[in-house]
Amino acid sequence: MALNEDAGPPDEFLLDSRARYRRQMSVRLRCAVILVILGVSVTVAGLVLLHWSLWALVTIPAVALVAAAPLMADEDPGARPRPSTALEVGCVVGVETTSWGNASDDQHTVRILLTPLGGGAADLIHGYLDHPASSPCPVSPGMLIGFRRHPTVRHLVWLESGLSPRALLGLRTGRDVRPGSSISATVRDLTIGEESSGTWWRTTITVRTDDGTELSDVAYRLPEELARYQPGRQVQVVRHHGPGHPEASCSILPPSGDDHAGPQDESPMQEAAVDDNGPPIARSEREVPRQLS
Amino acid sequence: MDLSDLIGSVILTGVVTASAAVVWLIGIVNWHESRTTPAVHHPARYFHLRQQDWDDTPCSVGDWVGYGHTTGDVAARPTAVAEVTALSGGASSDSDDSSRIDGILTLRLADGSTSRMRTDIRNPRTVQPGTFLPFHPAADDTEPSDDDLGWDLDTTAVRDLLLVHRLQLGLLSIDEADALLTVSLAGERPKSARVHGIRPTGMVRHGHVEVELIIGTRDGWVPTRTFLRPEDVATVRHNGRVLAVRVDTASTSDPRWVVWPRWH
Repeated sequence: MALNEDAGPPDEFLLDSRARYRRQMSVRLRCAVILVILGVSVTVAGLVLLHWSLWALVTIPAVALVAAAPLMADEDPGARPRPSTALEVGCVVGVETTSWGNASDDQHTVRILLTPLGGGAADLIHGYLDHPASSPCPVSPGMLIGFRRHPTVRHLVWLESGLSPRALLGLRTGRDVRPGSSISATVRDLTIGEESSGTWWRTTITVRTDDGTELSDVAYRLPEELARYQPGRQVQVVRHHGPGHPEASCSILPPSGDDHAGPQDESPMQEAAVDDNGPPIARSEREVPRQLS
Repeated sequence: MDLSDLIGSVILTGVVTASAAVVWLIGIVNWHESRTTPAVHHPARYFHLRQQDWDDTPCSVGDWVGYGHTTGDVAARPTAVAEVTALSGGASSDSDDSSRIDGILTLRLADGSTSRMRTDIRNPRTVQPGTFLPFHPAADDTEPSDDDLGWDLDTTAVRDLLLVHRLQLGLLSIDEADALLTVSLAGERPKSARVHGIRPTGMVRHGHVEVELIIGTRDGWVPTRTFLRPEDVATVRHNGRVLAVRVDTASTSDPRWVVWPRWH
C-alpha cells in the first residue's frame, strides 16, 4: 500500500527555469570573483604603496560580502500558464502551508493535496493557492475542489478554486445540476455499503429537510469526506426530480470554503449559506492562484 | 597605528570576513544547485512529515508545536483540553528573534467559549483545526492567553490528559485506553504495522471518522477499528502503515490490536 514516490522527470518548464537560473548564477559568480580580485588588489596596493591604515583591511571582506550577495537569490520558476486540459474534481486530503514564517506580501501559499475522483493513493496530486495570512486557509480536508492537469507533470495541477458548489456537484455526478434553489436539511444517518471503487466507498446519507421530508444521497466517497456528515449536521441539498431518479433522492452540495468540518457533537453549527455565485474561497490579489512546480 | 587601532581593525575585519564567508557559502550552495537537474516535488512527502509528528506523540506542548519549550514544573493549576478551530498569522519570523514565528490560534476552550491568542508556532502541521492542546482554564476575571497553554506539562501529564479526553469523546474505549496506557507505562513503543485496507464504518465522532483497518501484526493480518481525523486517514493510506499496540485479552485465538492515536 505504500506509495512509489517517483514524481517523474522534470518537464520543459522546469528545465528552462533551471537553465535560466544556471546562467544567472554563472554571471553573478564571475562578477563576484572579479570584484573580489579587484578589491584585494586595490587594498593590497593601498596598504603597500600608499601606506593606508590597517583599517583598510576590512575593505576586502566587505567587497566579498557585497559581491556574493546576488548569489543568495533562490530560483524563481515563475508562474505556469493555466493549462487547457479538462476540468476535473478531486477531494482535498491534505493542506500544507509552504510559506510559514516566509509569506510574500502577507499572502500564504498553501499546497493542496488531492485525490482525484475515483483515484487512489498512487493518483495523489497537488496544486497551489494563496490566501491572506491574516485569515485561516479556506480549504480543508474533505472538501471537493476543481482542477486542471498540467499535461507535462504527473502530480501537479492547476486549482480552479472559484467553482460553485453546483459546478462541483456537476463534475462529481457527471450531470448538469439544474438551476434552482437548494434546501437546507439535517443529516439523519450515514451508512457505508459493501461496494467500493478503490478507496471510494458507496455511501448513503439520509437527510431530513426542514419540512420533514426524508431524502437520500447515494455516492462514492472517500472516508476523508465523511467527517462533515455526522448525524445532526446541517447540509444544503438539491432535490432530484424527473425520470432516472428514485423518489426521495437528492444530492448534497459540496461544502463551501468557510465550512470547516469541526467537531459539532454538542451544538451543530449552521453551515454557511451556499451561494450559487461560488464558494467564499479567498483569492490572492493576483487574478489566479500562484501555480508553482 | 596604536594597539587599539590594530585590535579594532582586526576585530572588524574578522566579523565582516565571517559574514562574507556565510554569504559565500550560501552562494556556492545555490550555484551548485543551479547545475543540478531540478527535482519534481512529490506531494506524498507531506504525509511522511505528518507520520513523523504522529510517531512522536504524545509529547509536551512545546515539542508538539516545534520548539521544545517546557518549563518542567507541573503547575498546580487545573488542566483541560482546548481544541484548535483555526490557525492564521505566521507570515514572517519575529524581527527580534528570527527563530520565533507568531501564529494566531483560535481555540475552543473546555467551557465552549472561543479565544484567539498569538503564540510561537514553528510547525503549523501540528496545530491544524481539530488539534487538542492542553490548557489551563483562566480565572473568571482574566482573558485567556498563550501563557495558559499547558507549556508546563511534561509528556506523562499530557498523555494522561489526552487519554481521558479521547475516552470522554468516545474516540477510545476503556480497554483500548488501558492497552495504550500499559504500553506507555512500560516504556515500550508501539509496533509499526503495515496497513492492507481502509474501510469507513459510517461512525463519525467529533470530527473523526471511524475506519476499519486490516493491519499486519505478529498475529497475522488482523482487523482493527479506530477514529481518525480526515487528514490522518490520508496519512495512513499514503504511508501504508500505522503504529499499534496489542490488547492483552484472555483469548489468544482472537487477538486485538489498537491503533496508536495521534493523541493531540
